[in-house]
Amino acid sequence: MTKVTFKAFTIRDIVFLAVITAVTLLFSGPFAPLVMTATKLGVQAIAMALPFSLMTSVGLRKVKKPGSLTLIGLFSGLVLLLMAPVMFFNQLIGALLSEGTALLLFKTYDNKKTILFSSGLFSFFTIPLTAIVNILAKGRSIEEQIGNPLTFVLIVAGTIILGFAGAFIGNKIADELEKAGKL
Amino acid sequence: MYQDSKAIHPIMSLIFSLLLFVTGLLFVKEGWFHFYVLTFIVLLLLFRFEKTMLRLIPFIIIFGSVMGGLTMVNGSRQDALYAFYRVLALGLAGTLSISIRPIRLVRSMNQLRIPRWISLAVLIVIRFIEIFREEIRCIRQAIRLRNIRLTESPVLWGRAFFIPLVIRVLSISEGLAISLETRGFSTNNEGTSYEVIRFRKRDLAFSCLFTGGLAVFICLFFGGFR
Repeated sequence: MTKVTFKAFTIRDIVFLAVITAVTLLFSGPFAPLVMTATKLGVQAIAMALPFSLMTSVGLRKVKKPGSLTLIGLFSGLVLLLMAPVMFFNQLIGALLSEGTALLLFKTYDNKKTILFSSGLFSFFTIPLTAIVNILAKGRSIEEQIGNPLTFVLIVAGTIILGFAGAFIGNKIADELEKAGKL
Repeated sequence: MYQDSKAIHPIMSLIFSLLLFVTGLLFVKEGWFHFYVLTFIVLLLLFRFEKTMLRLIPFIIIFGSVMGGLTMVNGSRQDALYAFYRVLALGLAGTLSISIRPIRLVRSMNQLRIPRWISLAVLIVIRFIEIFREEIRCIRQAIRLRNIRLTESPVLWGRAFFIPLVIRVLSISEGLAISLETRGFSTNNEGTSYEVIRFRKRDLAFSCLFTGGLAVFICLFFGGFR
């Protein structure tokens, strides 16, 4: 059974992941204010799923090292810390959980499925933390946050579907660039 | 951006911003929320944050109204008011955090012995958001010139947009990495700081007033002074 091997990040990797983070934040920027204060659980995650998974999957195709997504989560979280402090933990823990799950299942980033799962589930994994923050900071019970269970299930399913769709598109773009010898 | 002489220590700003945000959300439904907001507005004005506050007012009004309006669809007028208050709390916390100059934050992070690659990456992200906004504008102009429309041919539009964008990301990051490597940057060496960010009397005064004010409201929240 293969183990997850951690490799050291070079300055090139860090720069590329930072630039990818900048583009990711730029893409999700227009949606963020619209859903920022939404009270329904998962609305933020569904809005961010597509732009986040699309760009992060391109980043993971270039830097195929365990920890890459966590670094993207850390960098985006540190920048978002300046605007909405809670977002730091949301981004970092979401990235950590999705990368952890993907690596636990497939072990290495050489497998495209790892990238698909890692990027695709990023937004989904921010939902539990949002729920915890809402309970602690806003005093809203989980029932209040979920509201209509059917709507909540649809939102969660939408987050997963959009996440995987974004990761799939990102992988397709990376495939084209790989064929052209650019990646 | 806020002037250096008036700015609070970047790390302190960040911590106080986080505190304001969390307590703001926590206190939204309290009857004395107005006094809480007023106290910190006065404190921020005392420490000359008026320009940053002015810049945030349109954001608070527009998004506060949108959020309030959306909440009114399913909720009561009171819920709509709470939604507006949440945006207000966010704006209040944002005043402190957006007044931080990225370079001063990075220098403070270096002083705190936070690995250099983390502070460098944060600086790159902040700087490149603006650069890529311009790049995206150029790519979209090129798409328009080629008469490709998202509504008519979304696949073609996607290719025409994402492929050049990712190529720009690759070329810019490659150039930047080479530039950093030639300047001796690496993930494991320590560097020196051009400017030392000190904790000044002004920071101390702000910290005392801020924590004092916040302590009163926390006491009120937990049922103190009864």
